[in-house]
Amino acid sequence: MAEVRLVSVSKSFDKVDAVTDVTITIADGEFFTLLGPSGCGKTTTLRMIAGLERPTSGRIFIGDRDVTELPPKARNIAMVFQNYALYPHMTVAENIGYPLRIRNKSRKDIEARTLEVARNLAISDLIHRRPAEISGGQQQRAALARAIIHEPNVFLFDEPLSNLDAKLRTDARTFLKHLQQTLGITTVYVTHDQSEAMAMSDRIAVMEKGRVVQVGPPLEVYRHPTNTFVAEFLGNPPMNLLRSTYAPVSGRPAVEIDGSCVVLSDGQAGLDRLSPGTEVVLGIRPEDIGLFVGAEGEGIAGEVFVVEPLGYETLVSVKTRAGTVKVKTFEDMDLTPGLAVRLVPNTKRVRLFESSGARLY
Amino acid sequence: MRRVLSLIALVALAAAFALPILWLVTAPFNAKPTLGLSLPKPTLQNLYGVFKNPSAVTGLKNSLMQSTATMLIATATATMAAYAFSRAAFRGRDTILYVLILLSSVVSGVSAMVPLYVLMQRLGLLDSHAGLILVYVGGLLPTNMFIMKDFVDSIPRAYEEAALVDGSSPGQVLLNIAFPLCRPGMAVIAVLIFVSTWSNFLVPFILLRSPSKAPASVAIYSFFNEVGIPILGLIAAYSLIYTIPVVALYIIVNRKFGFRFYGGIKS
Repeated sequence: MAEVRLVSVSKSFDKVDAVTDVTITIADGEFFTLLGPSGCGKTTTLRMIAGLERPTSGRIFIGDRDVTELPPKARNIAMVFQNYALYPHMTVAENIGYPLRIRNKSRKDIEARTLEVARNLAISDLIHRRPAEISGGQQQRAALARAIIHEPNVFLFDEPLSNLDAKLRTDARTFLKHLQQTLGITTVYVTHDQSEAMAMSDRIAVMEKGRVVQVGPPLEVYRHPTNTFVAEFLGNPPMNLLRSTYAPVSGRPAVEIDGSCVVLSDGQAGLDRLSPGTEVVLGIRPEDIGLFVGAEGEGIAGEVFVVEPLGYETLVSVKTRAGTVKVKTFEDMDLTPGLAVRLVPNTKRVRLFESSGARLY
Repeated sequence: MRRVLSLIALVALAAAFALPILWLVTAPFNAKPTLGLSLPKPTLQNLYGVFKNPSAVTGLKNSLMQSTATMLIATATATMAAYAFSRAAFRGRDTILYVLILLSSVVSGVSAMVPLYVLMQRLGLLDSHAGLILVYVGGLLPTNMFIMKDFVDSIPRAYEEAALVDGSSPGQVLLNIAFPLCRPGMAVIAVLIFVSTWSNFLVPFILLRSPSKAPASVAIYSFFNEVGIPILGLIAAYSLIYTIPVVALYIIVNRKFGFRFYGGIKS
């Protein structure tokens, strides 16, 4: 068990900056996710914590120890790779027991502990097979077993679920979260799948182009994205972003979108310095928009473009003059393409960004 | 009609290739072998003849010793070099690799013999097993290193990285992970190296003087009678024995390694 601390860590490969000035503190026992699109530096950051890459600058601490210059073996960590990297020439049992074998534990201890861990992960009847002879889901569990057998200080996961099919992935997600809660081991998890990050993490760090742009609990990052990049990266479908103009109405903050006025909640810091007429971007999640049939009345006018029933909710794409807006509705409405509708955003959930992308509130 | 014609052509072709092999397995057991194919009454006389001939037996021993030593040294060095070339990124790596390949394939065989002879003479290694083995190893290294590098390139690094994170030192990674994963590739180049040294005639013929050091491929030259007529029975029997190690090696390696790669990473 240990806290993991990165202090202005940077890494460049041949003058290409992969990671720039990353400072994060991961609490003891926390499930922490590095989230971002491919090439954002999340895997490089993880590999630096593992000791597989050496930072160009900055320090890394595990517990109170500065491990920046230490090799992986001195860090007492465990890592699950995207492709699991089970040693193909060893049986599953030999794979699971490898971290103990390398620590010179007695053969008896290794066998007993291997069996115990394999039993916990429900793979004890497979341990005499080779990795190539078991299924993807079983390989993933074998890799997990190898990671937990020596009780590491820190778990590192590099997209461990991306090689599983969709059904298995949800199960494995639940299992993994439960395992982490049971063991209480500090976990750094890398993924590009925002739903995975939302579902599993205590906190998420969203990365873009080698920098951490926002750190926070999943719902906070979801509800209060720090810029339009985060707003669009989290959520499926992502947050709607609409070009609009700042136009206060009788002293209350408001924006104008295509002739319709959206009044904002009062008392938001950051809006005072805006002068009327400034271009801003209004952000609103698909589930925070009310959908009303008919052309006349309050709200942004548009017409139904595509209707996608998803079971519990229905996803409706609405064409407005400010762009296509995605709306999630939970009522059964008789919607057909071409139908005139009005969109009324929930003002409490509206976010406002500068046209450069940074959050206003 | 066309079928019949093509069948005749195919049989003729097959016979042309099969005849020498049939001769190789029948002639040694023929008391009076000719260049034709016949097997009147099987006899082991020719095989006794070979084992009674001292230079024939030393020849086989020498061949075995020289080829095995070359195989061990060249396989080990080629693998280690290939591993370094595959895993370590250093400046000029690809250039070095291609120059080595180019030089070894352009300057080879007969064209290298004179300089090699002079080199061995200066080093005082003429007519010695060590000198011959060194020349073999040097000649075989670049190509086999290249084959081996390709093989190592195909092994994902994640295995070695996983082993590092699991707590191994670099040496343990090499021994516990990299080496076992390289073994199938090493088996392939080991066979290639053994076969090419076993069947080499020119290099030992030029570099070795004393008959006591000559390998089988050179010793076979001693099976002539006083007037220079080849003793076919002995040559046939000797040839048969000469093929056995190579065939045996193929079978053993194929059993043990199957000339395959494990696989196990899903990508």
